[in-house]
Amino acid sequence: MEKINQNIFNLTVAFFAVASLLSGCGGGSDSTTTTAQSTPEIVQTIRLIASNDFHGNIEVPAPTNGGSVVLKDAANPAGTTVNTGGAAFMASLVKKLQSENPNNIFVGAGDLVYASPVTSTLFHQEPAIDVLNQMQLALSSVGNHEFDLGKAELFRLQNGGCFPGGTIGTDTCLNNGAFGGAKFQYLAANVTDSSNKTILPATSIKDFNGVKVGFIGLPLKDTPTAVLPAGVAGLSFLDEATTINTYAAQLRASGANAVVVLIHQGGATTATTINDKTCPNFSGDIVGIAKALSKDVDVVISGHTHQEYICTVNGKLLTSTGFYGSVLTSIDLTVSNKTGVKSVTADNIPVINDTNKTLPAGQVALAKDAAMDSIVQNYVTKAAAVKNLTVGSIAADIKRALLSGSSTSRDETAEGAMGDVMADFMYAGVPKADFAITNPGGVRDDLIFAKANGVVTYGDLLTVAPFGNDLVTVDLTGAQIIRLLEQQWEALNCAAKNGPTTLNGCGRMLQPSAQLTYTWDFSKPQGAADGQGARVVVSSVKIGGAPIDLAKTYRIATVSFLGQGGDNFTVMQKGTNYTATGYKDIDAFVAYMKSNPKLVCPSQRITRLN
Amino acid sequence: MRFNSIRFALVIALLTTECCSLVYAQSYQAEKVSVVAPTIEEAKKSAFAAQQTCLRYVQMNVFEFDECIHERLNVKGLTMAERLGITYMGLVGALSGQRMGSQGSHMMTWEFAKKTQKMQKRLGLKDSDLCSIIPGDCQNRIARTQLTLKQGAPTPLTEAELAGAHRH
Repeated sequence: MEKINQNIFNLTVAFFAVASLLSGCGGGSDSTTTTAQSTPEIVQTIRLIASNDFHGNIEVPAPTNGGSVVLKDAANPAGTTVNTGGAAFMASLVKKLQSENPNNIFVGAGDLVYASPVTSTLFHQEPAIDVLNQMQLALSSVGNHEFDLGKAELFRLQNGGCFPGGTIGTDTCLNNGAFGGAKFQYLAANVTDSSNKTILPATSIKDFNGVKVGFIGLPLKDTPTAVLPAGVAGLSFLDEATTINTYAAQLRASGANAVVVLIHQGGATTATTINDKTCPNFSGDIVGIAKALSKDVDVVISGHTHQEYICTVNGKLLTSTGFYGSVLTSIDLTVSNKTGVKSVTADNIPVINDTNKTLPAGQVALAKDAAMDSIVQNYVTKAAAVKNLTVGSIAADIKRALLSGSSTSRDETAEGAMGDVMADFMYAGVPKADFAITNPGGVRDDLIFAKANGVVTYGDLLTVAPFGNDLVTVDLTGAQIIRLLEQQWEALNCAAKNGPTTLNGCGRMLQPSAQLTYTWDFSKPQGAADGQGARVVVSSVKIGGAPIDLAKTYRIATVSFLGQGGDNFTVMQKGTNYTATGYKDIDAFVAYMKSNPKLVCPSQRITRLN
Repeated sequence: MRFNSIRFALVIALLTTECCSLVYAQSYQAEKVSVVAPTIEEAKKSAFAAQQTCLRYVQMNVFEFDECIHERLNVKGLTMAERLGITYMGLVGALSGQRMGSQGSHMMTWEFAKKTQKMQKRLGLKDSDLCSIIPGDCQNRIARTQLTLKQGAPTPLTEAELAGAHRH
């Protein structure tokens, strides 16, 4: 891979550059042409290899969660579904595409890290950066998720260094006690700090044997609405099209023969197989941006929406690959140093890991790249070790409600200490909630004192809360909260959970944090039709120690599964302001255990009458 | 309000579908459409509106897309053609999600394929009539819908699958 000439521009520089153009120094294209006319014409075909929304998926993703695609197949009108993804397979495809044209560059369009599987999460995204380095990724825009832990952590991923508060060699700086950061350059053309300077380079120019291609990278301007406020405090996110046009002109003035935008914003089509170049019904926020781009821009490589497409908007090629490394875009850009882009073609190529499948003509199953596979397996092995990290302690057993006579099977009809602790950590982990609740089915194990003399490991917590749920908040009125509690014993939940060994007959008992207390009457009918239950003693319900106000709106912290109405708690769907907090349950659990050493069973919050 | 989330047990989906079809059957008898073209045009408009609002929610999963489509279907006073357009958008969006392995897309495709098929029969529309409502690969869309109906209900995702337990 050739060395990349990084041009670091900030908006101040951009201002002066554009001002100089406007003051009679000539337009960007004219300037380029004038320069080029004095030299012989050079035409190069440059291969752009693109990825987006990798989200640290170094292992093969599940086919039902981004790890499969539907291919058009002349022999099968319904198309053929194949399994895809995994860094070892992706590396093979990158190498193949690189080998076909030495004039190549591998680029990204953001969200390469975070919201990731545990193998990347445990090591603070260092594995994701490592494998992308190994694949010779050269440039990427930042996405909204690159800001998940704030600017300082983004800079660490870029520049290297161990994770603050981490343990070197255990959960950070795994390779020889160091983490070198990204060998690729993150670009953030529209993200400025209080001094109006971009926090990362805005652009880069690469010279492909006499033909120069300029790159601009940027996230969506609405990033602050997609991440926690702390992650973007003090930063401004400027209008995408205005920013792109400014820098595109500047790149042209600097001699770029083509301009490629890497943007973390996207759209969607109604295609039903991948690589459908008819681009049916294309829509989304990227369309307006693309339509507003100047003639200086040739190609837009996009992301964010987790869609794949190859479209043309406003005369510009506009691509995206989907998500989790299932597909790569291969773009062949033929460029003259005198006249600019002469032609462009593109394909979305699946990262097929399905060796046993009969593939459509022209499709190839990839073999694992051995070196990359070794790197991935090394992280997988280390992840297993991290599960042994001490994250807290207990002074006594903390158990779920268990079925009578069982030491392992949970009783979902009853309140349990472990469920209460889970609700407590959710409350502690979400700012400004009035209380937290969680579904009893999500409480998967107990913490047992005798297992390690009270020591609690990360792996222990993963066993209790294995789902990697997102923490969310939902607003419900007091009246809706009463209805929510009644749904615990109404027909659907009563039918779902019942048996001779349950404590409370039937139903699913939500596990509350300490801020919610109430009494219910066992003598009242169970299994009432939806909306007809009447077992809660309304006058007993207290939130934060005060009687519930049926007309007041309360903010509830919970897991995304329950927040979206899972386990028949459909009242949650009538709530307002459903908000993903950006926190994972396991992270909040770890933080809670660290701040509550020698944890004991919490007091009960629910009282049963009769 | 959001009904019929595909996260719910299959039984809920079936009960709701059947319940709704009884209600619809009564109201649709009176307005059974014999002229295809105006129906399709009306369906196109409602499908386009649903697309503008909902398609953006097809991402790594289709749950929010499903909720968005159902919210639009729950608006009172929809004509049958408008309902068809929104329902068909639900089917096409789910198929679109399936092409990238989006979570929940198989179940949503199955649900909306059934609903679309019922409305299609009631209105006497051909597959090609439906295809004209939303641009795309008609041949693949029809074949994939038929395959989904033939295969029957997919296994509902478990909580572990929904929450991404594979990540651990």
